[in-house]
Amino acid sequence: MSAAAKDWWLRLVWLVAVFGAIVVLAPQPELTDRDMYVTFGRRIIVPDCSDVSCMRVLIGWFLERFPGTDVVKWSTYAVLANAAAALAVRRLSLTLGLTARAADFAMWFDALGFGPLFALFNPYTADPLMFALGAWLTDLLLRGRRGLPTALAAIGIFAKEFAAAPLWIVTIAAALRRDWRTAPSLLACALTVTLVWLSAQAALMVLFNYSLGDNPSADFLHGAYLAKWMRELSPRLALVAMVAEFGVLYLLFAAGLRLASADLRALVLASIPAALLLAYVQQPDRALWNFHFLVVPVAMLVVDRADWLMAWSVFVFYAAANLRFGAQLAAVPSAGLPMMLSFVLGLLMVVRTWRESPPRPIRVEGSRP
Amino acid sequence: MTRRQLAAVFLVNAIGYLCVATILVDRGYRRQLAARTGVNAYGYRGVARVGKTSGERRLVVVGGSFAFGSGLQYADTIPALMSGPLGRQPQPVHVANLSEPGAGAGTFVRALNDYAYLLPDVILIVDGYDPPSGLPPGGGRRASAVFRDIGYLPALPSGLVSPAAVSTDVDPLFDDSRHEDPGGCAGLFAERCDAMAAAVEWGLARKTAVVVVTPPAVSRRQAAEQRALLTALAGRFGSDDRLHHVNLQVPGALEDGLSGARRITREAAESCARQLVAEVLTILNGR
Repeated sequence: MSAAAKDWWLRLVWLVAVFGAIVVLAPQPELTDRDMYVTFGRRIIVPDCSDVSCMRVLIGWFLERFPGTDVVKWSTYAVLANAAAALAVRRLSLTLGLTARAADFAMWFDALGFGPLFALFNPYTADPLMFALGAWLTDLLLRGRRGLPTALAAIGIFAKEFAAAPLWIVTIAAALRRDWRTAPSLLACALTVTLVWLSAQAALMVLFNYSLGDNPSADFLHGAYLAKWMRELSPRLALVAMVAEFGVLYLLFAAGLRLASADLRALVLASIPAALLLAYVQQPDRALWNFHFLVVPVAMLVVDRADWLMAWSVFVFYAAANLRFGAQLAAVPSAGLPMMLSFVLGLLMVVRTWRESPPRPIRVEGSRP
Repeated sequence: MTRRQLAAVFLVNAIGYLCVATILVDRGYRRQLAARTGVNAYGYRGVARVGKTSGERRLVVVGGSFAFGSGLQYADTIPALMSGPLGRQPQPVHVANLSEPGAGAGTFVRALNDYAYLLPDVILIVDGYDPPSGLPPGGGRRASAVFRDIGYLPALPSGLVSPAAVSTDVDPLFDDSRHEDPGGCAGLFAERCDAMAAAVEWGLARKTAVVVVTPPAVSRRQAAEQRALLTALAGRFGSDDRLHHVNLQVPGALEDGLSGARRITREAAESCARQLVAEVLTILNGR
């Protein structure tokens, strides 16, 4: 086994161990989509299904192939998919030109972010797989692969529609960079995956009377899920939920954009339409984590410039806040203080970075001739 | 990927997107049509269902113009009036009206076969006024190859004629001015009786309760036909307690519509619906 493979396995073991401990300590959620996903997994096709999630059968179907209780199977899936997501973010960070140190930070900041930890608390969701696919597909596409990411996305859309998003993001980014050599093939991949999703939806509607039902996400002209979310949450709660999602990463991301290469900025810019759409049709505080694979690497450009103590201090406070907010661990103290401390240290980090003259932008390897 | 391969992928995508767009437009148009006529994407009147949930009970209605409710607003038709009280039962009953305007008894078995997936608990077979060999205008839903193949009735182009434009075509054999002796089910009414018996047999063979419904008679000859039919059915299936009969003889039930066609009055339709709901609930709750 090569040294790189050994390192990879070591990181996987660490991630699985950390996630496993969190799953054991996390309380049981009161409200989940368990019944829905398990039913879809057992029956694959549910005639007259009227929900936006009707076609999200992949994970339920896959997990039904294994013995064991639902909670064990879904928690194991969440642990493994979250670990895969963190490893994929590390690899993507390297592809995006970040240093190995920054890539390691990216892996841990990603692993202990709000999204993965919330999925460990409530594993009955397709989110962990989407977290992994987002980073993995983007990495494959940036490395010039077409067939494999298209096939993976075409399968992934049966877990959640977001699987098509990375293809569109990379395609739009290529167009923004006026990279007309790669943009057409990327567009072909994105169109094909989207067509697979639309065709499956149309076929299920015609043959099995599928519909979107009265789900607010489908009420596009009246604010979709965003309107429902805003109605049900007070402005204060909505703000807290949004801040908690990325925490100090918002600050580091904003500062990191200044240091990012034109290619990385193009990717960020290209993800805005998908992010806006997703935040509109889904619960915004959860939807935006899907874009972790861009937010985290950009933020790590700032973390990478900080000294060891400062970088790990920010991480510890950030992770502590998320263990409470995301994984809902009762043993962890209130998230307010660690989050505030992470912001203070993050701000210091940003100020220091700002004072330094920005380095030459980093280029994405292999994305352009 | 070569330029040629890329062009092929884009071409396949273009065709695919065109197909999906057509389906989505069709679904949208079908929703509008369904709101106006009650005919859903699967070609029957009622809330569209292709599956059956556990605990759900289902009533299907087969018939011609009378059961379809030609000349009436959808909400005023007998099956639509039944769907309210039946849907409010502790164990709701879903009503699917498979009738088509102009459809004679000869089409009933075909309709039941087309919708066998609905798994009815009770079948209402309405012996209406249309000639037994009668067909819906333009061939009805079966004129659509898509419907015949997959059960979905495209709205583009509209396969079903708007109910308001359909006149009730009364079987000429019901005309009292005719002189010849109809001779009951062994005579002139043989085709009608055989078709009705085949529809009844379809339901009973599937262990489903069947209710033969005789609507208000338009003539003495039709009243005689109804009696002959009931006698014939009793002779053939009399020992089967799943076979039931409801006689909808409401005085003054029929009136002439604006188009000159005869149609049931709103009051009579409500009375008929109440009678049928009571019978259906007796059957379902007694099982």
